Amino acid sequence: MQNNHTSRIPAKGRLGVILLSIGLSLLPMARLRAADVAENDVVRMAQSSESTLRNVKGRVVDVKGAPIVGATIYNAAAATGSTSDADGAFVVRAATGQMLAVSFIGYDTQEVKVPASGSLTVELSENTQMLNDVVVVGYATQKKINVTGAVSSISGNELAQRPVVSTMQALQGVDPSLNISIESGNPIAGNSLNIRGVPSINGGSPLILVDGVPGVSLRLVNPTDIESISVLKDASASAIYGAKASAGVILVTTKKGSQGKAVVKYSNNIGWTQPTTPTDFITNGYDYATIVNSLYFSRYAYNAFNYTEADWAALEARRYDKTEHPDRPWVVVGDDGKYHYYGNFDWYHSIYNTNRFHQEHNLSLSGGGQSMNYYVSGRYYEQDGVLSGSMIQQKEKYKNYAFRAKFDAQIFKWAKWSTNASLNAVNQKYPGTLNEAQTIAALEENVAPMFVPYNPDGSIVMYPADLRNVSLGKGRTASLADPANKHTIDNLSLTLSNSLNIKFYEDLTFDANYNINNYRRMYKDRTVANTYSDAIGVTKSTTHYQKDTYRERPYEYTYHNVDAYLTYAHTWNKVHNFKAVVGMNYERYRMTDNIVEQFGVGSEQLDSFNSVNDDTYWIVSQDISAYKTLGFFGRINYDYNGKYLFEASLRADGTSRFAKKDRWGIFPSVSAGWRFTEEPFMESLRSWWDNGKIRLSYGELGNQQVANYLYLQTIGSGTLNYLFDESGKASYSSVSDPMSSSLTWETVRTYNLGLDLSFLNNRLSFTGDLFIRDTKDMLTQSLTLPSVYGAATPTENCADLRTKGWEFSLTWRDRFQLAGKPFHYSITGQVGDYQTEITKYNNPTKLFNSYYEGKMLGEIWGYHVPKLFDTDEEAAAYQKAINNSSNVYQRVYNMQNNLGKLMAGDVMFEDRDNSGSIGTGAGTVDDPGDMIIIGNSTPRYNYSFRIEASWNGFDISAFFQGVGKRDWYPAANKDDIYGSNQFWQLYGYTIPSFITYDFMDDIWTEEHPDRYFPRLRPIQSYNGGPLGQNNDRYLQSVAYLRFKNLTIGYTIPALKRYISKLRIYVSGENLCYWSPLKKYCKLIDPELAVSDGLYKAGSGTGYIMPKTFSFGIDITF
Amino acid sequence: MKRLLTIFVAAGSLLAACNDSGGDLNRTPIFKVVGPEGSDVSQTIEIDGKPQTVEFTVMATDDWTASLSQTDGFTLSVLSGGTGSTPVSLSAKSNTSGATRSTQLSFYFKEESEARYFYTITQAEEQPYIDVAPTSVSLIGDVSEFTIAVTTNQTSWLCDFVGEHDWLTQTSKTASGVTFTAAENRTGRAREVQIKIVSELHPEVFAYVDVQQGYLVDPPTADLLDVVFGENGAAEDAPPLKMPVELRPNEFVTTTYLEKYGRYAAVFTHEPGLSKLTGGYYTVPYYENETFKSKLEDGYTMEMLVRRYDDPKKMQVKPFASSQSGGVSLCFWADDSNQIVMETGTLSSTGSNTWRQCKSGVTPQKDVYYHVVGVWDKDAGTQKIYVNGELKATNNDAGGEFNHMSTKVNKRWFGIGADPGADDTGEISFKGEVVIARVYGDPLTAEQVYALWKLVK
Repeated sequence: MQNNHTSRIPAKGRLGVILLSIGLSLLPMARLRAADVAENDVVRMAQSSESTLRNVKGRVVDVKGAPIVGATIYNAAAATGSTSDADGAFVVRAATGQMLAVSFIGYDTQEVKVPASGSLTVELSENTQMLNDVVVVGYATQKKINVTGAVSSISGNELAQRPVVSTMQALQGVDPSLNISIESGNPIAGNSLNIRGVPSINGGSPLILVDGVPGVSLRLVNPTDIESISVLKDASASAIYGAKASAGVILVTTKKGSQGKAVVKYSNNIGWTQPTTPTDFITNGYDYATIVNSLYFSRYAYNAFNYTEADWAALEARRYDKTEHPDRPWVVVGDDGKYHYYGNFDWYHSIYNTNRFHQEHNLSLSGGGQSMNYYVSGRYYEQDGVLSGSMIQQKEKYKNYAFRAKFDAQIFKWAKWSTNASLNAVNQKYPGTLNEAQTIAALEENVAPMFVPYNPDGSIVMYPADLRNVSLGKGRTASLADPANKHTIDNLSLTLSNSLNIKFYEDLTFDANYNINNYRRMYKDRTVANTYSDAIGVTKSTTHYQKDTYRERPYEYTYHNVDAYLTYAHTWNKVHNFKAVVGMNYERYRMTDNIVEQFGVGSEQLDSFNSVNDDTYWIVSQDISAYKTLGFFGRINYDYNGKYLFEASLRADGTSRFAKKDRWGIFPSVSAGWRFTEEPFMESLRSWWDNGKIRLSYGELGNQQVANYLYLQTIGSGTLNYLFDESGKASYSSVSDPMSSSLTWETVRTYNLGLDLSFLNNRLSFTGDLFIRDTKDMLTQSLTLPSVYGAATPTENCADLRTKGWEFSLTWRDRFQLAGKPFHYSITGQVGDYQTEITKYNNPTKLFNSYYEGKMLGEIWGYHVPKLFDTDEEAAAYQKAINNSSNVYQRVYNMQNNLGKLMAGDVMFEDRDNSGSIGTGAGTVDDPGDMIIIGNSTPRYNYSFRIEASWNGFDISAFFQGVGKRDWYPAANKDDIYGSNQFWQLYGYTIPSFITYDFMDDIWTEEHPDRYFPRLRPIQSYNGGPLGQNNDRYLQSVAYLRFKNLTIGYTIPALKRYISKLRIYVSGENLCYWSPLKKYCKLIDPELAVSDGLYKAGSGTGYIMPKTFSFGIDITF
Repeated sequence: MKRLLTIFVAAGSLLAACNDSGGDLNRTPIFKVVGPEGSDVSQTIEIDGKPQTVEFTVMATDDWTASLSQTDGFTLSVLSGGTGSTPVSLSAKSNTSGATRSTQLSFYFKEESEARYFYTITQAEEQPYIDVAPTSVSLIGDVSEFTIAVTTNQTSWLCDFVGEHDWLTQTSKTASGVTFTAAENRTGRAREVQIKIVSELHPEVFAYVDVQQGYLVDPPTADLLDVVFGENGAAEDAPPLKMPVELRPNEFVTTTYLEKYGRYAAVFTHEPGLSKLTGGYYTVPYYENETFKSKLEDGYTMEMLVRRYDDPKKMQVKPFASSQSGGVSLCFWADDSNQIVMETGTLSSTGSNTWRQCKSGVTPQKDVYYHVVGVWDKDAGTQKIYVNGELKATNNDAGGEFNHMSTKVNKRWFGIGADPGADDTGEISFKGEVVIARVYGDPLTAEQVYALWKLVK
């Protein structure tokens, strides 16, 4: 308030005001009186200069030189004003020497003196501090300076202009409490998101509300629509959302129109996406077949590729042919008509498109009048998918269409109506088999460069005669080659909100919202039996992998959500600020998931069951689930003169997920803050110390994120195979396992201590938080009951865990003059960490493969490998001493050709318990055999830093993000599970598809005994193989630092008559990364390594992570 | 400004140009002609004077043509073709011209004027001849009939025999062939005879047909295990050992009477491939039966008559097995063909288990009964698997000491409907019917297996 008064005082009057203020400051209420005097002064000065007023012309621009439309120009002395037009131009009545106050929301207000020339240009700089001034909290907004809970706010500007598919990707790294795991590079892949870790062993995701609407995936929100995002981290901030908010809350607020002329904005982004990891594999058939055959023979005593000497000669002759020489064709036919292959075919780049095109277009229209404003936007985004290499005809493609329309209408002086409709549609098409992740995993096997996807007559290669009894990529290359295999995913998210705001009188308002969110997804899948040819003129078909089918899977859920609340705010004596909110929330959810599948293919063009011709086999299944919640909430805020801050809230929640008697829970929270810089004893420091606040909070929340019908026993039915008299087979019903009679809420208690500081005129700011989160009464199986009980142990509220953590962020923001132009820059760094420990769990013997008291979540148990055996003699002596039946060496012993024994270069496990065998003892913490804790898979020290600068129309921003500590043991393969992986390569499977030359350089040899990987033996990373056992030698650190984004833009000072702003930019996303993982594995992105979203979790092999280069344009008309 | 835009455009073009499109999909066209075995384009193909055909195969990925330089006495079945493998027959008529004659066969690819392949075929003057087909006949010991086709330029011919032939009866004779019936052979030994087809006019012109016949034996008795299923899920082992057969009941196992076989079958309806099953299958415990164990260790035969209720899929399924880190089984393999396989555990040099497998190559179809016999001959170091009385595969690398199944709980049993798991529950469940489940303490012979098959055939 004080600043506002000052800005309206003309320069001539300001000195007087200051002097008078100094004098009066010795008296109580000095500021108030100073303001009164100043206002009198303004009137007097205005009268004196009235006669010299004239039209002063000017222009308002931002630091990039772009015009600012709708800026307010106010001449306090003459009480005249104006607004800037589409070019930023204005005309205002003023006299020379008078001060003009130029302001626009989101920018620092500038005061400029009217020059004698009568013409001026005013440059406004963006005030992000102001944007942060107000943060969105539950059912209200609040001044950030008064917030007592742990809340962070992210401006939409930080998300826009990034070449990302979705908002979820753009959020990664923008706040240290947000842990976002990208499941894979697939644009429709899910993301796991948590705030300060997962609150329960049963999981739990943050409540995400987009303009108050629950159930909207952040993947389906147009990033350019977002005004701000609030992250409510602690229980006090999120308590008002009760049982749905135990894992925190993310509030997304979209842009809306503002009063003024219509503003049309168009932006686009066009570019290419490449893998973040190298894709340079062995494509030389001779080298590949030599390596693999030697490995294969050592295991099976016969070769994978049954080439004759003549065949080897043919392969060698073509060894250096990058493309096919007519005299040395890659496919020849034998006398029996069988095809033989001698190619150097680059399968990887033929299957996968490693340079994928994308384009994005955004168009928005906003504006408004005195009683109504509007914002309408649309987005089109498309991206080529990875399965769109040259050999694939039915190429993968992703498209996204988004549309939003918001209208606010002041229907009466006391009532405002708002409506907000958004639609987001995604369409993805992909080839091959039904499960795309499985396709990618299966392609890691048997796809050898000697072979090609199509024979010279165009037929498909699947079972080459030269390859022993297995198909290429488990049949997946053949499925990809046949365009009849096609799959479509259509997502449609539709949300509609209606809000009514009634102002009963100045202090009391009533808000009511009704939201509906309907999400629909449809899978359409057509698969056909594999057809292939292994001999000229012979077409074969197999249904072992897939049959002719057509399948549809419609899935739908709908949220209905009603909020109604009263808000009362009043200030007494200008120092006692009070605000109270009381209201209710009702939510209803229902989901249906249907699958219909019929065998046969009548038409490959029509996606309809009418086009399927086999009526003998249908599959129909349906899944339905639903829940309701009802909550009542209240919150009071009180502060004394912005110095002592207090907040308390209470929420009562009922959910259909528990039995009636245990259905309701009451969850309180309380928080307080002290802005100590407002105390008199800080007066002397205030010239450089702007703000200091200590926050303290405590709150309890319920966790209702449990299965919908956990408390109910279910009854299944079926038909017996026993015959009773002549009535045929009897029907029966069976009851599910017994349930605990007292299932109820898990409770999450959070303690948070925070500190907010800013210095040097807000150029340096700091926010830090320490927290403890206790989750009590987690639902899990309780006692271990004897088997005579005859059913699974009931689930009860019987386990606890504690998460401790901290996070802080530091920002420096300043500007200076460079070559006569202002140079703006800012640097922001953030880091956060947490660890979670089980504090109560019914596992008295402490079996370490389960939860136990004292267990840190993410613990990795494994063996200690002191070294590789130096000599055969040492290995033989070890083998003699260690029990031969030890499971860890089984796959070594199964080798053929006298290799079935431990030898130099093999892995040595330490027999820590001197038991004479390598094993897990009793499997307990007290008797772990030879096991120790070798690492932890929890991501530690999430950090990011951002550097931004702008000068003379140019702007640049660089964003880095990373994880400081995280361990990963590459997943072991098992029989019959697809997916050799790119970490173990030759150790993971006998015929891995993609081998790198440099992998061979890290393998132990007698000449190089110091290399990383052990003696080369196949399938050693399976169960029963030494590399399939977690151990500290091959444990990987997947900590990383990623150059997440670099954007360089230039605002062109041209075409100002038609265009308010014209900016072009180039941008790079996921440009590069640094990670210890790279030392021995460059092929796996560290984020993909730990992903659970791959076909085989923890294998690191899946839909490749994207690195994107793009350029774009922003135009405002 | 222009410079900046140029940089933007150049950067975009560079990225677009980086696109690595992988391996080239265009292949060199194939054109290959294969003549009769041993033929070579550089050497003349010499044929005798009989009417006959000379077979060629043209393999091409585009259009081709063929032509003959001399068509007197020679014709071609196909003069042109396209993509694929096309058989081309050169027919030579009987050469009664009184002299040798020849022709040149040329093959052209697409529009090429020069032939890529050409063969010279020379035919001699025709001489008296008798040809027979087949030249050897192999019979099982049952009553069976066979026909010998005779091609000749002789006006009359007759059959003569070399060796004892009273077990053969000529049942018909025409100008182009003769049919015999062989009597059942219960002599306990194989027998053979040579049939000589000879010209009446030119006795020096003749051809032989070798005929061999196996013999029939009585079906052996299962001395280790012969599970007989009864009403309402009952099952017992037939003498002599009378092993205990225990039903672990649940709603997914029952028995049903099969008219076709005149006996009850066990019916398993749980899904295939399940594990941790506490019920839904039969067990035959033998952990403490030393006789049973030692006989199994010295070589054994397992017999099973089985029918699946599900389609073959890539999943291991064990209808009759006692396998866990060793032991035996008759199962369906987890490979693409889901073939029928026998497994025998043997001890490796390091004391661990080495599986010996004999894979039949037969994919079991849904709702079809299969008679499966697996034989492990320890002394010969072989495994043999028979399906429906026919030997389908032999594994000659199956020697070693027998290695029994092992569990964590010191139990050992044969499972019918599921395989024993390490914790004494059932696993790798089977969905379908088991009609016969027998174990013999000896490796059976092919004749014995055939006798067993005849019982159910």
